[in-house]
Amino acid sequence: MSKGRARGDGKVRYRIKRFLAAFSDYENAVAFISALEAWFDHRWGEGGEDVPGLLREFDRFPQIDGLTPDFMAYFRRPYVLVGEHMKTFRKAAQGREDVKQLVAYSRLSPGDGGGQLPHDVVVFVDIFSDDVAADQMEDAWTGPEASRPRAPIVILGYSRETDRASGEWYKCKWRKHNGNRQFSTPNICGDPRQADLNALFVGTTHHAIRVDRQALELSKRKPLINDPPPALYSLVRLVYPALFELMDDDERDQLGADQPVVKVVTRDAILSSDILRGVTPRPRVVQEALDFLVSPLGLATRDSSDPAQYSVRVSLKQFSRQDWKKFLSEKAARVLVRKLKSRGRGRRRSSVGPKQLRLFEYP
Amino acid sequence: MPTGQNSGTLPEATNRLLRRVSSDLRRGKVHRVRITPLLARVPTAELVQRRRRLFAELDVDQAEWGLWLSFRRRVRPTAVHPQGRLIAGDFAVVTLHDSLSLILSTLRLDAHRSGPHLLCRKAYPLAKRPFFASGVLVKAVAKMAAEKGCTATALDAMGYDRARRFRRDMREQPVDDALAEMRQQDRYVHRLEVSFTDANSSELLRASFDRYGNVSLCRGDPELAVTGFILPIVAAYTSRANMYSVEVSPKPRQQELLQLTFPNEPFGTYTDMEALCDALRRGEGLAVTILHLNPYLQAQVVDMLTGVTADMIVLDKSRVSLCPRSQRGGQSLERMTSTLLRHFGEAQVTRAPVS
Repeated sequence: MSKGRARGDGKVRYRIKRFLAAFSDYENAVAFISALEAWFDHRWGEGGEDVPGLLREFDRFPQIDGLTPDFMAYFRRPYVLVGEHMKTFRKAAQGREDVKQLVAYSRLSPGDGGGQLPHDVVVFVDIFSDDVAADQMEDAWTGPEASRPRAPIVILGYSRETDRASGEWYKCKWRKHNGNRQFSTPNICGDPRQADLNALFVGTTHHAIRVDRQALELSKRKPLINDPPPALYSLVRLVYPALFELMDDDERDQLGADQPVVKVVTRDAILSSDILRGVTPRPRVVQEALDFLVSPLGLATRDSSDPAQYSVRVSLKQFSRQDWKKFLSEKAARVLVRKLKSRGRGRRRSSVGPKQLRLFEYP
Repeated sequence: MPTGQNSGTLPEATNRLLRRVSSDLRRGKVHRVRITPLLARVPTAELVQRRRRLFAELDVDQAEWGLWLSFRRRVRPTAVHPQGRLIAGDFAVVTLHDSLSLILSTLRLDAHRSGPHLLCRKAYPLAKRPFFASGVLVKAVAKMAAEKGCTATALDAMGYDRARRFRRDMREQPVDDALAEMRQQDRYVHRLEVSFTDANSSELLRASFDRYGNVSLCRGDPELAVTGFILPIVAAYTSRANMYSVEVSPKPRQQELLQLTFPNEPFGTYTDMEALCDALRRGEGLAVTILHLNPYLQAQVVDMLTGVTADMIVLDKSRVSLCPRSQRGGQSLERMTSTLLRHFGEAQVTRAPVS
């Protein structure tokens, strides 16, 4: 960014900050869910250390009755844990439907072919809002029958511990608020001598889940959670890697000789690329990222005769020496602010900041 | 001069070429001979054909030992040459066997950089330059001296430390001492100018060797450098190449990754981790995006020239893990590793399981 604080720079900085914040929120969520997957596998997976083989499957991308929880862990007992990760829990009055969503999860009936499986719902919220969540759940438990939960909803507050240089931990804490429930007993296994979910989370002051190498390997393998990522994240993590994988020899030779390349791709080509095979993002995610590349980024154009085709411009110089996250967010922020200016407000505005920008937020 | 005694390892045509170059050097027709080993994945002719667009003009002549290339290249205007320049020259690509070629040039540095050196730099992914640790380099030089029964004296040692601070040591000393002195200061010897003298203290060979295996010869017989230094060091390198073929397994527990263990715990602060990413960015076509930097580092590395993506993870103070996201990432992992070894610091490279 330029040294002098020209007019409009504040707006650009503000937008860059928001793009990067959305990116890292999503990335943290991915790391958290991956750490949970690694944690479950480490304890109860095949070759697990506590009781091997209790966990049948950890599904990161469940789709059930039109709902998409962040994970569903199937245990052999049988027992299912439906999990959701939230950064903040907001009150229903603030227009978010967090409670409705959780109640809907508790009314799910997960099954495997024949019978229904008993299940609990667990929600991980930031430690600053687990009391809000509990209050809201209490209202739901005492509310009308039609919107009352049918299975225990356990609220666990988490905080990110970043003080130690040797890695990151998520401290999960169960607190005895009114609306908070415990996991149903028995849960993961019938043997009362084994530590179950209640013993691990409810019966202790806190339980720490570490973001270790295995967790990060999982987050590399599946860089998504079940919620749609911000366009910037899908560009960096999915679309561009796939794009470079799809290039042919001649295009690579051109890149190598410092010549710009225009790569024509479709959404489906990107979806079927090797690197996304294990991830299978929803088509809409890739579509949105490609549209973001067209506008506001202006790094691609959509073919007028065949709107499924995008021509994406890449050059070695532009892409190899810098952080894509920074470069793309800065470019998008500048374009958006410029657009805002050219909307022709006659009067010069003297102040910058979130208040005036809120009207034109992306998306 | 003891030519011929090692000629069994080189084809006769190549020997003839080297003898011709050697006599040019002796008679002062050329001042330096530069030889670069290049490990090619495709036949040399295809490599040259596909990199033709680097030059304004390129003529290729077939010879018994390989290809003779004449190039012309337009160089961008600079302050000294505001009109830009046209640089021309010719050099040889000697094919030793399917995967090993030697780029042989007697050009002046200026022309060497925009011809043979450019071709070597830009050859990836069709061919790669090997990269050796400074310990390996010095050992190979010492071994070469021992085999020829002469003494190797370091005239000039050049090296970097982790912050890329350069140091040059021009005291005449045994090569091992030059290495030890650099090590004391946490530096790596990148380039070493060595004089080989025999028992009568007459100079047999004077050349500089670097960690890419480049030999730049200003006195002596190039054949000696090829058979005594390049061939053995490259053979040792290729025997370790399968270390980089880390397969992507569908089962997370069986997944492997490449682990680089650095001495002296270099990752104390975030700035160090950023320096690591910057070092990797120096590799051409490697795009590094930091995904997470608090307190651990997770970065995505895309090799734009092969389309391979990997994640770089630093979870403790000394180890860097590279996990490929794409299948068949071996070649790119090797490039990422050698870029880190070159521009950040030397490390021990191993294949390790994830957990």
